[in-house]
Order: sequence, then C-alpha cells, then structure tokens
Amino acid sequence: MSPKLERILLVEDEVDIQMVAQLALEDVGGFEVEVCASGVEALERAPAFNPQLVLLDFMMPGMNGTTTMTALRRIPSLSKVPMVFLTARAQLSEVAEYRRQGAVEVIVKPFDPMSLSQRVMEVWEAFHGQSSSSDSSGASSTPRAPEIQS
Amino acid sequence: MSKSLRDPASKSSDFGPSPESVPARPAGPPPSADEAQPPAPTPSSASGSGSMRTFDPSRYQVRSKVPVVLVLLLVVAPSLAALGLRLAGIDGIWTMSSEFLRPSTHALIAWTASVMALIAGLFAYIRWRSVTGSELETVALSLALPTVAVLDALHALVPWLAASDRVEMALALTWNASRWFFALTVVGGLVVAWSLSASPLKLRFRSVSLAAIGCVAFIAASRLAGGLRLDGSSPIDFRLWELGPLLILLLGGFLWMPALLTERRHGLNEGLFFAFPPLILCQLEMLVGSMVIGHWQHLLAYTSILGGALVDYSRSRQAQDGARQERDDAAEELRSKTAELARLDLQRMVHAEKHREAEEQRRMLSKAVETMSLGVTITDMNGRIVYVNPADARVHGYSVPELLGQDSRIYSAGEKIQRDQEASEPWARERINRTKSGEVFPVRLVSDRVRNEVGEPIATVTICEDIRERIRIREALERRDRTLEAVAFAAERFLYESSWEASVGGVLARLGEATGVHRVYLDLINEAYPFGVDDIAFSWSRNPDEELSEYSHVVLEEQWAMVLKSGESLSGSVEDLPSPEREEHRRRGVESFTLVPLFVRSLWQGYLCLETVDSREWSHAELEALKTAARTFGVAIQRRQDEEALAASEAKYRELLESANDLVQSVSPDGRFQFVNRAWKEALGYSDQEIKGLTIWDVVQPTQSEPGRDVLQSMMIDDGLGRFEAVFVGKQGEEIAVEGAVTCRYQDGLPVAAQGIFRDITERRLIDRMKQEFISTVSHELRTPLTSIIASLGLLNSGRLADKPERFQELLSVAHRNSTRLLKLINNLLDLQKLAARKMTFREDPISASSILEEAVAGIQAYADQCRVGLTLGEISSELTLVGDRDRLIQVLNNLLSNAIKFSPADATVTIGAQDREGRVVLTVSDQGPGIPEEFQSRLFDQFTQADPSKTRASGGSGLGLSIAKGLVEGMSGHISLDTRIHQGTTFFVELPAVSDDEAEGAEEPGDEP
Repeated sequence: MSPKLERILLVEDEVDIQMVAQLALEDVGGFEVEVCASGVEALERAPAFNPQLVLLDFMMPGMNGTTTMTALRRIPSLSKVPMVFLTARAQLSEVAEYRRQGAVEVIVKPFDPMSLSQRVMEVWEAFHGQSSSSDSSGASSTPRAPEIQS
Repeated sequence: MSKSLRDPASKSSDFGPSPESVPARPAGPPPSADEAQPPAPTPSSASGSGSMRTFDPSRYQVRSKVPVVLVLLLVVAPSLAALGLRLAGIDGIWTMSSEFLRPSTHALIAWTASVMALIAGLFAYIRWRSVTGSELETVALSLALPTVAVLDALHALVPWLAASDRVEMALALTWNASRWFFALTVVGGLVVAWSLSASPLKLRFRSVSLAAIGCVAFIAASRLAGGLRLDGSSPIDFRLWELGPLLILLLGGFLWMPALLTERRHGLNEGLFFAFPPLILCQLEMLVGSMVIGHWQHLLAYTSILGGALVDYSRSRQAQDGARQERDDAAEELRSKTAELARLDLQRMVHAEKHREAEEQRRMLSKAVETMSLGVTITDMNGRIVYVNPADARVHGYSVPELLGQDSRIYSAGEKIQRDQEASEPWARERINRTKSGEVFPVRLVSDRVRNEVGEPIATVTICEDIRERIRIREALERRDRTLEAVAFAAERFLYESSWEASVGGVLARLGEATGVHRVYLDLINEAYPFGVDDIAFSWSRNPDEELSEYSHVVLEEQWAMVLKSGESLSGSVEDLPSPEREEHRRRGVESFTLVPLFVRSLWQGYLCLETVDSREWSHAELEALKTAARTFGVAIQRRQDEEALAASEAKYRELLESANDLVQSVSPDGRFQFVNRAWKEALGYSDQEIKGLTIWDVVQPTQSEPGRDVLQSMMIDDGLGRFEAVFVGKQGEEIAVEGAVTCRYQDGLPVAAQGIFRDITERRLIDRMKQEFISTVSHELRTPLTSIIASLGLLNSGRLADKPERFQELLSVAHRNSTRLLKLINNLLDLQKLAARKMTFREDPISASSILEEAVAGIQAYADQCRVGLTLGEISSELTLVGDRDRLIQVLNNLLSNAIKFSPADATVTIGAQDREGRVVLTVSDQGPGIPEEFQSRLFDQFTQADPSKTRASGGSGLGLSIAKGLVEGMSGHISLDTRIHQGTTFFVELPAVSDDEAEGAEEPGDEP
C-alpha cells in the first residue's frame, strides 16, 4: 500500500505552463504543488518542501532536466523520490535517455490538464508497487535504473 | 670279366645264356681247379698291347700246355703210383677193396663224378648251342654226360635204393650201363664226326703212338702186377663186361680222338682227349677188379672233361671279347677316318669361302676408295706415287695418270716435309697444298704406313681432305658465337637497365667488335620515313672520329624495305648492288653489308645494319645470330613501350584514385599500407612518410559488430567484405566514420592485398544528427506553446474552475499569447523553408533609411518599454536610400532589435543608425549587452542556436531570428555582420545596396554578393 501522494515539486521554466500545470495538479488533483522556474531554484527549495514526487521539464535555461535531477538526488531526503519528466522533447530516443538517467516516467507535453493528476497518481502507484516488491535497501537508485551512477 | 662289363651289349651273341650263370669253377679236386684257370691275359700283356686288344694265338698255345702237363701228371701219376704200390707188394689197396665197397665211401666218389659229369655236360651243351657248324663230338658229349651223370648218381645211391641182396648186382648194373652208354655215345660221336668231316680227319701217328705206348705199357704192367702177386693166390677176377667199354674207348682214344683234336682243337676236345687215358685205365682196373683205382680214374676222367669244358668256355669268352674289341676298334677307326675326311672337306670349303669374301672385300674397298670424296694417295718407300684416287687428282687439278709415278712432293706448296719424322708413325696434320695451276689451299692429311707380313713398311697411305670449307665454316661459327655472346650481353643489359637507350650504344659496340665489322647502326622507321632513315637512331663505328650524320639522308629503297618487312635479312657485297646504290656505298667506303629486320610485336620497326670496309661473306649461322640480336633489340623496345604504356595506365588510374574524394587504400596481408590516395591522407592527416610506418590496426578500430574480430581478417575473409561501416582514427585521434567496400586481391590463390574504397560519412552523420536535432527542436518549440494552450483551454472547458472566475481571464491570456507565439514560430519556419528552398521573392523598392528605421523602432517600442530598454535613433541623412523589400527589411530589423533588447540589461540603450558606405547603405543595431562569446559567433546565424537559452525563454525566442535575418538580408543582395565585445555590447551591421544617384537605375541587379 503506497503512501498518500501529497507534495509535488514542479520544475518548469515556462511561466504559462507553470500556471496551468499548477492549476491542474492542485485544483484537479488536490496535490500540494511547489513550482520552481529553474534547477537552481529547485535545489534551493526542495529540501524545505520535501516533495514526494518531482515533475521536471527538460529544456530549461541553466541546468536542464537531467542535470537538475542528478543534483536533486544528491540531496539525501530526495534520493529515493521518484522523478518524472514532463517535457515536449519526447522522441523515443530522448525518452530512453531520460529513463537511462533515472527518470521513472516521462509525461509528454502537451498534456491533458484534467487527467494529469491521474497520470501522476498512476506513476506514483506504479513506482511504489515496484519499490515495495523490490529490495527496499536500494539506496541511491530508482529500481528502474541500475545504471544511474553513470 | 672286365671286358664283359665294358661291353655288355656284345657278349651274348655267341653263347646265348649269360656266361655269369655258369659256375666259373667246378667244385672238383685241386688239379682240375688249376686246370680250369682261364688263360686270361696278364696285366702286363694287356698294358703292352694298349687299347687295341688282339688275340695272340702263340701265347695261348704256350699257356695251354700247362694244363696238359698237369692233367697228364694228375691222371697218369696215380695209376703209376698204384702200379708201384702193387709192385711193392703193399697190398693194402687191394685188401681195402671190400671196405671200399662200403656204401659211404663209394657213394661219395660216385656222386662227385656224377656232379662233375652233369656240369661238364652242361658246358658241352652250351658249346653245342653256341658254335656254328656241326660238332658231333660235342653233341655226343652233351648227350652222354648228363645221362651218365644220372646213372652214376643211381650207382652212388644203389646201397640205399636196392634191396641188400641185390646191391651187388645193382651196382654192377648201373656202373656198366653208365660205362657202356658213355663209351658208345662218345666214341660213336667221334666216329661220325670224323666220317662227316668235309676232309676226313687224318690220324696223327704221334697221338696214336703216344696213346698206344701208354696203354700197352699199362696193360703189361697190370698184367705183370697181377701175375707177380706175392702170396701166390691169383685174386684176379676178370670182370668181362668191363671189357666192351674198354675196347671202345681204346679205339676212340687211339684212333679218332687225336685226329679230331688236331683238326678241331678246342677246350672240350682237349679235355676229352685227356680224359681217355683215365677212362681206359678205369676200365682196366675195373676189369681186373681193382675197384678203388678204377673209381678214382673214373673221377679223374670227368675232371679232365670238365676242365676242358671250362677252358673252352674261358677261351670262347676271350675270343668273344677279342672279336668284340676288334669290331669296336674297327668302328672307331672308321669313325675317326670319316671325321677327318669331313674336317678336311670343311677346311677346303671354308678356305674357298674366305677367299671369295676377301676378293669381294677387296673390290668393295677398292670401289670405296675410288668413289670417296677424300683424296687418297699411296706412295712407295721412295715417295713415288703408286696409286691415287680420282678425288685426290681432282682436288689438285691433275688427272690420275699424270700423278702416277710422280714424287709425292708434287703436292707441296714449298713447305718442306719432314719425311723421316713423318715416317716414324701415323700422323695427322694440316698444311698448305698446291694445285697444278699453282693455287694453294689448306688440307688436312692423315697418313699411315702399310707393312708386309714381317712388319717392314712397304707403302704409305695418305688421305687428303680439302678443308677450305671447313675453315670457312669454323670461322663463321666463331663469329656467330661471338655474336651470340654479344646478344647475351645485350639481353643482360636490356634486362637490367631501366632505359634501353642508355645501353644500346654499348650493345652496338659489342656487336660490332664481335662480328668484326666496321660500322653498326640501328635505324628505326617512323611515320615520316616509312622505309628509310630519317635519323640514325643509334650507331657505332670502329673509327671513333667518324661522323655518321651523313646517314641521315639515306633512304632505304622500297624493294629492300619490303624484303626486311617480310622478315628476311639482306646481306651481300656492294658489288652486287645496282649502280646508284653501289656508288653511294662506295662513297662511304662500304664493301659489304648486312641488314637484319627488327620487329616489335610482329611489326616491322626498323633494321640493324652492319657494314664492313672489306668484302666478306655472311654465313647463315652468323645471320641467324644477328637476327637473334635484332630480336633482342625488338624485345627491349617492346619492353620500353610496355613500360611506358603501363606507367601511363598506372598514372591514369593513380590520378583517378588520387582525385577521388573517397578514401582509397590497399593493405598487404601483414597489415601495411601499399597505397593510399590523397583523400585518405587528407582525411586521416598522415604524411606519406608516416604512412610507411603505419598498419591497418593503427587506423581502424575493431569492427563494432564483432569486437574481437581482426579488422584485417575481416577485410581478407571471403574475398573481401561487402559494404560495411567502420571508424577510422586520424592522426590527431579524431574519429572518421566511413562506409565502403573491401575486395581482396589474390595471386596464386593467396591473398596479396585488401583493397578498399571508403566514403567519409562523418559529415553525413553530422547532418543526420542535425536533422534529428532540428526536428526535435521544432517539435519542442511547437509543443511548448501548444501545452499552454491546450492546458488552459482544457481547464476552462472542464468547468472545474467555476469557483475561481478570476482565473478565467488569466487562462485565456495564456491561450492567446501562446497561440500568437505559435503562429510566429510557424511563420518563421515557413520563412526558413522558403529561404532554404530559395522560393522567397523580394521586392526591390527604394526605401528611405530613416523612414524604415523609424518604422522598425515604432514597432518594437512596446517590447523595449516592457524590457525597460531605451531605443535611440541616430542621425540619419534623409537622402540615404536603399533598395530592398520593405516588409522583409522590417522583419530583419525587428529580429535584430528584439534580440538587442532581449539581451540588454535593464535601463540600457539600444542604438540604431544608418551610414553610407561606398555606395551601399549600412544599417546598425547596437546594444550594451553581454556580448557574444567567440566560440558561439560562428554558429550565430545557424538555426535554433542561442548562446544563452534562458534569454530565449524569457523572450519566447526560438533561435530562428538571426538565421532568418541573414537569409532575408542576403536575399536582398545584402550582407549581415556583427561586431561584438564581451561585456560591452554587440553591433549588427546590415549592408544593403544603395539607390544610385541616377534614380532611373533603380532596378539594380541583386545577387552580387554570394
């Protein structure tokens, strides 16, 4: 039984998308959403917010999505938090690359605001389903990404 | 015996039954045994007479008396002894008479006599059957003896056979029967034999008298002895029946026996003859009752007969052997005589045949000498010619009769002949001879002596050979050999020298020296002078100062050219040439010449000419050698042509390979590079020198699909590889992706090279990646505004925000703003596509610089204000007018201005200006931004490129602006450039054609800028 998903950290540089995504997650899904406009900002605010799940854009100025994800994982409290990419850059090869880097799932833009929360919940459930069934001692990696260190 | 063994085939001719079956010795008393000794020849006589054994009657006569004497002694002596005893009064014998009659003693004597009679009868029978002609006495004996033998045997056995009272009578009966039968038969036989004889046998007085004296003496003695009995009693008891045989025997013994013996003297008759006395005595003794003596005499008589029979048998054997020997000897002699005759006949025939053969041989030899081409001379020991054959006379210009009797020195050309030396042994030598006409010529002479039977020389034979032709051939062959050596020299030089022209001079000199000519030159035809010498290609002269330049005008007569072209050589004396040519050659001092054609690939290409200043002959062998020389030249020329063609071909292909943009390489099996082309070297960055030390493993990574597989093995395997991709590593470590094919070249079934042609696909891959990148970027750029639009409208549409009406406007703004952005992006993309496809059209209007700048500023002012950036329009001449498309130019300026504003910090100023620069108008947009990093400047005008994407996000730029601006400016025959300084700012220059002063020429031709 997975824990209840409440806090989601959204890292997204597009202001408009920040707004609609926040609305979709908060008003439709009822999650508590912390929005950061860049990776740097996310690193600053994530420890305090202590998200249960992170949604990441890939194409961002400064740190891109994967860099940000890697940096976030170094924060001990976030080391096991599932990271989900929310990106428009989602060709097959790119999706494979995100997964290789450690993303548990990739949600492709444009997304349906009404079902986004549901999609996030599914990812959450799936992550915990796998996580509980697998070795819980996997310290710094997601179960899907044994090669995350590289 | 030895004789019979030696010749067994002839022994049975006379005696029928084998003599060996007859006992050689009778088992009689010793005297008879002695008598029976055959008078065989002694070893000495045998050896003395040698192999030719002949019968010697005289010796037989001498020896035959021994038994006669013995018999007389043995027969007569007992009688005399008995008589003596009686006379001496020793009456024991008589008194013993009754004891004598004891059966055992009597039987022993009688039985012995019987056996002896039987054996003697057997011999008599043998003689009877063997002797030719009739011998009735022998017939009688052979009948009588067995009969009396039987009777005597009965007589001996009477005491056991007859009743005791009749023994006396039986004894007398058998005894008298035996005596009577014997006497009658034998004497009867004698008488009949005597009477039947062709010339009645004469009675010899000697025999008769001898016998008569003996008998009378005996009878008298007996009678006397009987009468002188000392005791006075007269015991004489005449047994009258003994008287008959006595008388018969007396008659036979006295009358006929001696006569027969003298006429037919043989052993049996002799035995019989000597048997008569004891027989008679026996009868006498019996008559007077002296039975002991009588029986002994009886035994003696038989012994005599048996002895005679044995002697006869022995003699007949001997005679038989002798006759056989004689026959054999005669046959042998006949054979040897015949053989001798045959041998003599054969000798005679052989002799005749030999004579005939010798005669034929002599004729053949004579004919051979007469007809042979070599000269033959025979001289006597004084040096006079005694024979000369026609060939010898002919070669010396004489007739045969002219030479006969001449001194052999007639041939000599003055050279002294060492006659004594020559005479010492056979010799061969060459010398000079002289003909009748005085011409001298070389000959080879071979001489030898003819000797008689005792070895003394009697003549000298000399064979003379004219060797003019031989010497000529020898010299020609020597020249040919030298020529061939020169050819070998030429071949070697042409083979090892890369340029045949460099060695041809030396070769011609060698050829000239070898052939002993004065000049040699090589003439090659060409198109201008198909038959002649335009220019002597190569030449040699014995005279080093001689100039052959004058030859350059010599043109070969077409007829000679045709001969050469057909492959034949031309040679001869200048004398034989037609007049103009002869004069021409004479002018150059040429007397003899040879032209040998030269062919290259079966095409006539010229000739080799040899000239002499004196006349000479050219032998076939020499011409053949020169042809070989010409062929060598031809091959050398062909080789040069081949090499040139090969080099040209190679150069052509090498050039092709070198000029190719693809990478071409050839790798040997050990991995070293045999060849790489220019593109290869450029792509990998190696110099020729460096490539020599490289191997394929230095430049090719293991194939990616099969990392363990050796790259060279991959290339060599299965006759090379089809198309495949690989990665070459350049000198600097850069990777060069290539795609190509490798084929393997084989020689004798072994791979010798892997040849590959590769295309550098690094660029293509980059383009592929860029395309991929572009699509990804465009996709992203399109999806980003769409995300906002769809999400905001989706939220509005869901009605979930009904309780938050303040959000409605906000979401609509988001939708609208992003829609605009989407439109702008799409337009930009379309512009880019048009520019790339050169489908965009541009108006060419005269545009006032100031007005267009003002318009651009006005359009961007709102954005500048939003960004709190000031816009300053510089001083611009109103007359400054340019040519372009107003809308496109506004778009360019808008892009530049928005970029400048975007990258300017707050409260900075963007300055816009325009200048006239050498007939062109330059619009400038300067900002005070961070400047553009140097490494980014080269890519500044590429699509979707931004030095700092954060600014793009802030301004919604897509990275297409500058790319489009550049395309548009260049589309208007302009040029865009920039000047940037880090932390100070950047200035973009847009240079466009100005309107010329002459307004009429407004339509300036665009595109003078690339």
